[in-house]
Amino acid sequence: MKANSSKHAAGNTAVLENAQPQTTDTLLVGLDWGTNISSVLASLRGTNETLTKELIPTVVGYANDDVLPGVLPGDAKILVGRMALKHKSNLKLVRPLQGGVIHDTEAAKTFALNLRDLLPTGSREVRAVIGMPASSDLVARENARNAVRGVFHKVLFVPEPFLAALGVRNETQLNDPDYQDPVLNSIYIDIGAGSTDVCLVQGHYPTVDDQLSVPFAGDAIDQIILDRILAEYPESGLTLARVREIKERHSWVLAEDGTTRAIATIMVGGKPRKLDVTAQVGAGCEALLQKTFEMTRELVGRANPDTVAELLRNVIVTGGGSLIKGFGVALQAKLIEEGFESPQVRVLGDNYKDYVAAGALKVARMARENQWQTLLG
Amino acid sequence: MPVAPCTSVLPDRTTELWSTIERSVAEACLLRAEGRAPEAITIVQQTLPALIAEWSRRSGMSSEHCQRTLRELFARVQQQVSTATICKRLVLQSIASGDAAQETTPERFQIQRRVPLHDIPAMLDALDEGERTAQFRRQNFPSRAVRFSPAMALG
Repeated sequence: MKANSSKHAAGNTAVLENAQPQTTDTLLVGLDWGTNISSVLASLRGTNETLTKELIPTVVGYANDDVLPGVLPGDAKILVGRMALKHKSNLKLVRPLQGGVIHDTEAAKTFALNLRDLLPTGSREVRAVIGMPASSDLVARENARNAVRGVFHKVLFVPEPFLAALGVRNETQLNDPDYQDPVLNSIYIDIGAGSTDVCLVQGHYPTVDDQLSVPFAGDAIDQIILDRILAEYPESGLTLARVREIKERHSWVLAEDGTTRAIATIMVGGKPRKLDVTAQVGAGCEALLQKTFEMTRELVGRANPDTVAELLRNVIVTGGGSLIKGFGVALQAKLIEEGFESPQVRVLGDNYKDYVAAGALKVARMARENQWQTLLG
Repeated sequence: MPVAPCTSVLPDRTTELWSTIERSVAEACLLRAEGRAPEAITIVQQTLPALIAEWSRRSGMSSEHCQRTLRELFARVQQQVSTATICKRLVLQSIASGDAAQETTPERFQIQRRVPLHDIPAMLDALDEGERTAQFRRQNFPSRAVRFSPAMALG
């Protein structure tokens, strides 16, 4: 993957012109713009070849005032993604999205412009399908359009659960009698930073009645872990950012995993100390597991009883929460405890980001010409 | 209705006193209903006795008649305040439940009808319908719209 410094930040990249591109070539982009990491796929319209496949940390770094010349590459004032993380000691890091929502529009725009630099745009028209949380509201969508104005010529915003469902489906195997189509009768659980969405996917896109969403997800876990650690070690200078790192490294929900202690180095009274935070991390993850289980149980209750047996064999967990060690097995165990017959929980794991981006690219290829939203100005 | 001082036959000062007593009693009952008991007690113990004494003297009615009239006034005002308190509670509950519903479905990004998974254009049409409906609601019910988070939700 490319290291992505922000060329546009130094004024080297022009914002897209208002005029329509001269070429008929169109670049299609599928984007999962995530709170912590973003996934982008791109290909030319009419082809299946993937020209760009990138995972980029969703972070923008602004150079500190006291940075000496020659320290940052090209003496850049702004760095984005991995380059920002690499030089974080000399930057003020800003995450454009927090808790599933963008709280810094300027940083979001900077990030989006940098992302475009990674694409083989040339003089092509660039069209992007961007995944958004199902819980996003009208204002969020309007703001999203504003953030990518001047970055893409045309856009479409689609709920992430829809895209994940499309992305995980392998159309080339639909004629294979042994292929278990994951979208014919399944439950999708998308655990993001700001919300947990559970939806029934039974051959059609989930409607209002097929979805449950709660604002309890990764960020809420971080807060629980932080509160618990601070309760035990009040003198530790712990931040949510550090807690996130600890969680990503040590998250677990199964007792047997808990035997591998979560030992984190935390500054206490200005000195680094190795602390056992197994219980605190476990408590946060358990809370999420319980919430997810309750939502799943409720949604199963809404499904046609004739479909429940098959439905329970296709419980798919995606999003950052799916990376919690043992989450799928633990959820499955809770469903069995509840009395559901033979539930099978599948965790999409590390590449869950790719599914949303892949789904977005499928939508981009299939959208009618008049469905694209043109971004003016 | 109180047996009462018919305003048309009472002298002006007496009418004025009665009106003041009615307002004071209503104020005391309202204050009590709002949980402001000390202020209500101040009216009952400090303002009303002098007003009632003067009104009783001027009304020309017997002491027993005055007491009955006053009791009826208190009962009527308490009933009015009690009814108003119930109405207030119902209205507040209605607003609260409306807010809760709004918060749980704040123009969520979803579709209202079933669209087969393979029909991506139809899914996009359904999303567009939802978007237009949300915009219509926002334009026509702006008081709801202002509650939306100004933040941009993504990923």
